[in-house]
Amino acid sequence: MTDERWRRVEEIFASAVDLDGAARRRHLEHECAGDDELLRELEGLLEADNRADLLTGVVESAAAEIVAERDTLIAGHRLGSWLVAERLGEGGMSVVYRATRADEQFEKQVALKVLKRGMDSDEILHRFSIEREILARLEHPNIARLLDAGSTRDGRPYFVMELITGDPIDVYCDRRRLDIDQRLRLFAQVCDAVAHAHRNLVVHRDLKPSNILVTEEGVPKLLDFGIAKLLDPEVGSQVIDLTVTPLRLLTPGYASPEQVTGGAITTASDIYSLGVVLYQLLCGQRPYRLTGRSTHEVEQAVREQQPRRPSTAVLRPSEPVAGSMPEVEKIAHQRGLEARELAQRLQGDLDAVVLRALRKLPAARYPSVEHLADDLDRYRHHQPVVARRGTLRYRGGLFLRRHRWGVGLASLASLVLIAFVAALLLQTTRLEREREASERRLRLSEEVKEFLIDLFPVAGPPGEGAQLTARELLERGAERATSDNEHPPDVRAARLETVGRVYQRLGLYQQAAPLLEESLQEIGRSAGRQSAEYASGLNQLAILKVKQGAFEEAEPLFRETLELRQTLFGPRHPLIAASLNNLGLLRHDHGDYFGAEPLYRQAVAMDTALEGPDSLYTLADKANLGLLLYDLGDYEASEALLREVIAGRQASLGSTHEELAEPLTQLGRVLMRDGRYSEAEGLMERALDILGEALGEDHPEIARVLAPLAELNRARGDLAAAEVLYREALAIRRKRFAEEHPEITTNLSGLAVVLLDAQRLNEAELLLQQVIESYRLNGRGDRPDAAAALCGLGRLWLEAGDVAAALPLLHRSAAIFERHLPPEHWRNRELAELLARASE
Amino acid sequence: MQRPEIDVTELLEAWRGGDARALDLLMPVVYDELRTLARSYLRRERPDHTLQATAVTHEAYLRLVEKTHPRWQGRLHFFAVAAQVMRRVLVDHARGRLAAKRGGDAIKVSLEDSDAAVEPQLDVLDLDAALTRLAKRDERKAKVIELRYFGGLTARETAEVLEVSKETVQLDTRFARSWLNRELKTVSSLGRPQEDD
Repeated sequence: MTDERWRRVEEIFASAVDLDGAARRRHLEHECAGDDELLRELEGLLEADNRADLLTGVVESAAAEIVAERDTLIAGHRLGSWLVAERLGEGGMSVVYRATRADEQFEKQVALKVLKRGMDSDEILHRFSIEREILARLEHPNIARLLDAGSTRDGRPYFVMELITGDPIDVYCDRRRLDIDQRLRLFAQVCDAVAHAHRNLVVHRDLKPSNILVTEEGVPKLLDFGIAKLLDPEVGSQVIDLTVTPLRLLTPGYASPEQVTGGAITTASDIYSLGVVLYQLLCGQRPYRLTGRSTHEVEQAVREQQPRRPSTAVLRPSEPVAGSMPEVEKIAHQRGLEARELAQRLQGDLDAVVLRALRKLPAARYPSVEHLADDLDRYRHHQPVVARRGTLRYRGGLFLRRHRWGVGLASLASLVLIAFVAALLLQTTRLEREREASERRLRLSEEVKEFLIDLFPVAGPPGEGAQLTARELLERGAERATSDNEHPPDVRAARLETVGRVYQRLGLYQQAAPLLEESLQEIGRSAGRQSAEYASGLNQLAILKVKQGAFEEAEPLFRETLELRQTLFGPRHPLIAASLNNLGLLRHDHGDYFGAEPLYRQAVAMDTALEGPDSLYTLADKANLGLLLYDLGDYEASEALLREVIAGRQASLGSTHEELAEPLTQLGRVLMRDGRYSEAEGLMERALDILGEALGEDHPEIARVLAPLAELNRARGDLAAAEVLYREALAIRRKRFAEEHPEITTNLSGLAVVLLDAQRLNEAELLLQQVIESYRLNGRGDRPDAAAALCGLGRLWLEAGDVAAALPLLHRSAAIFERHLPPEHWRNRELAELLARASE
Repeated sequence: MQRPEIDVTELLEAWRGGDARALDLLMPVVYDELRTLARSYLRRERPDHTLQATAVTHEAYLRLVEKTHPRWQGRLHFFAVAAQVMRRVLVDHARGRLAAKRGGDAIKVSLEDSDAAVEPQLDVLDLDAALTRLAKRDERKAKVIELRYFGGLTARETAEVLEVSKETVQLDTRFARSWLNRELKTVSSLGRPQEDD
């Protein structure tokens, strides 16, 4: 339309607009004079003039929208030292802007992320100032740096980070049709970045494709490191679990089971999320079968569903929409393969690696991101992956946990169960050796056998017995044994003891205690309080007390046993050797190393003379002595003894017997002192395999290996792995023990030192204070364990530059160590150094 | 959010004097004020949740200018700025939303997965585009619309700002409104929800 014509339209419009009906029509026809196009133009405009005005609505609704949304910034807005340039987009929780530095010193482009909802920004900023140093340490080519944080005038927190332009990793891979190998290489870089953060003890907590962008140049960049934690309202207020993320901040599809259930969040949680990302990159699906998308359903799946193997998911996608064959082929084509080829490619090794990362139980996943990356590396170089080894320990891990009772006992044929319990009756443990006349025991074990057979219902439909869980069997046994009035006291005692010891073996010490106590009463009534049987009963009960951590109660029981046996058998007898050993153990566990040593040595000498140097009894004494020498710092002697014990037990019990677990673990600790880390790790992992197979994954004995494994990782500088392992050990112990159990205290102490090493001083301080208080309450405040915690706290104050606070702690710690450890022990040397540093 | 004190009047003078940068500096200040006021208006007295641009703009003027320069002669220039700010703000905001929704084309920074439903409707981006087309044809008419719809100015005030007669403004308004309505109608019939008339 020419300007002239435009003028003409305007002119006619002005003259026609106030006319109506026929008059307007006539006027238009006259003015347009046969120019149909002009006529149509004018008719259109005049018609629009009659219609409702759209403009007001458009403007008002746009304005209403912007006003309703509280947090829009426009170009030119200034936040701290940042100038908003443009809005890049928004998500559910935040709006993101491109910004530059306001001082214009350099043209650095950043992403500025402003949170939408009201959160306590003071608290978040406070946390940011604490974390700032740690976050600043995250300098890695694949991590977008978090540069600054602040709050807007109306109090909303914002974060400033390196501006990354790129696609989410899954989109990037699909768009460029990367093959499996290329995808793995890209993923390896992501692992490297996460591992770097973990080494600095920063857990991401919200890894997902939209937080992993790949730039034009193909460089993956991780966003938002550390932000999830800053937003966590629990952080800072909680004393022990400083790592729980509230659910609403999570992205359900990628959150780990422990995040969904509010458990402790560690580096293992990131490993899980990486597993989900890897799953998607490989097979284009999510790990769980879902019918809907509600948060609740996703969370339930994360907690309970076993993820499908990626190779299976490829051919049978879970989501109905994606279920058509073309979709299946499309996914495969994006990886340069046909669907069947892709399934074959994934089957086996890659399935195993992904599923290992997705284990429900954090400790069953890869111990660190490096392990995950190494395994993928092995795959790429056609070496066997670790994920497929060691399946013994992890096989059906979750199933075992949830149905332990079922698998462990009830599904076995009843005869196997009875053989198990009968063998148990004759079995020797570390603490206890029974060597009485066999006739009585045989008679009693027959009685016990019958008792156990009776526990299975006979009249029920076939198979019902097998369906009873072992727990039900045991409860039934406990009930019958306690309410039994028909049998003689010795039979009753044997039954009570049997059930009690099964409970004890399963780590259920609380259930075991009343049964063993009642058994002892029955023995007193049948054999009398001056009998060998009564001594054994006392001994048995004392052992349970030690397991429960009640040393004060155990000591008089052990003493009574020893005195009774000395009266009955004279000064030299295998059972007296046993009692000496047990008393030594008590002293040992109580931190009285010097007091324990002669007791152990007497036991070794007596057993060597009476039973022979290779007898299992002698080996048990030597194992304990070996442990003690480790604690006393005599590593050479300790190693020799432990190797002797391992060789001896292997010869007579086989190479997978659970009695091997402890000496293997301890030998590992000795080697660790020498810096022989991988050798030590191998020994400890073997111990874990043995125990996992024999006792299941959440038995307290497992924690007794996980904690040394944590210690080992700390020693070699892998603090992230150490933290995970300590927390896992702690979780197992908390399930079975009261909070004041010494193993929990020692565990917390170990964890605190890891946090201290990681410069997480606040968390470490809280824990150490708590540990010291527990030791004090347990009457162990002047023992080496407590001294280690005191020393830790002293070190912490030194690090924090508060020498005045550090000195008394270090002095107290030094005094305790001097009393309980030889002068050349590394603890004494360490303290001398710390004190020297403090007085500088 | 710290911002050095800005003298709005001074900037308005500078802008009137031809300094284009002054407008850039003015924008965020005016925007903030408009937004704050608009919000309080919505809360206070408008149950239908629409915005009375005139009232908002006038109050913004009182707070930003008249407080410090009670006898300043450039009141309408302030409104002219406000109208431009309003338009730019609404357009920027709508673009941001669109980018977030499309996802694919825009620069991606980490965003939470948002499942918010997208409601197609005639939006201010269409109006903005149409207005730009109109300005190419007839700049004054586009200005009239901007001042009246985005700035809430009356015909008389608009006439004063543009230094034309009130009648011209009225006729311009009527013509431009019809033209734009027809343009928007065309847009809306291309795959957007249709309204019957």
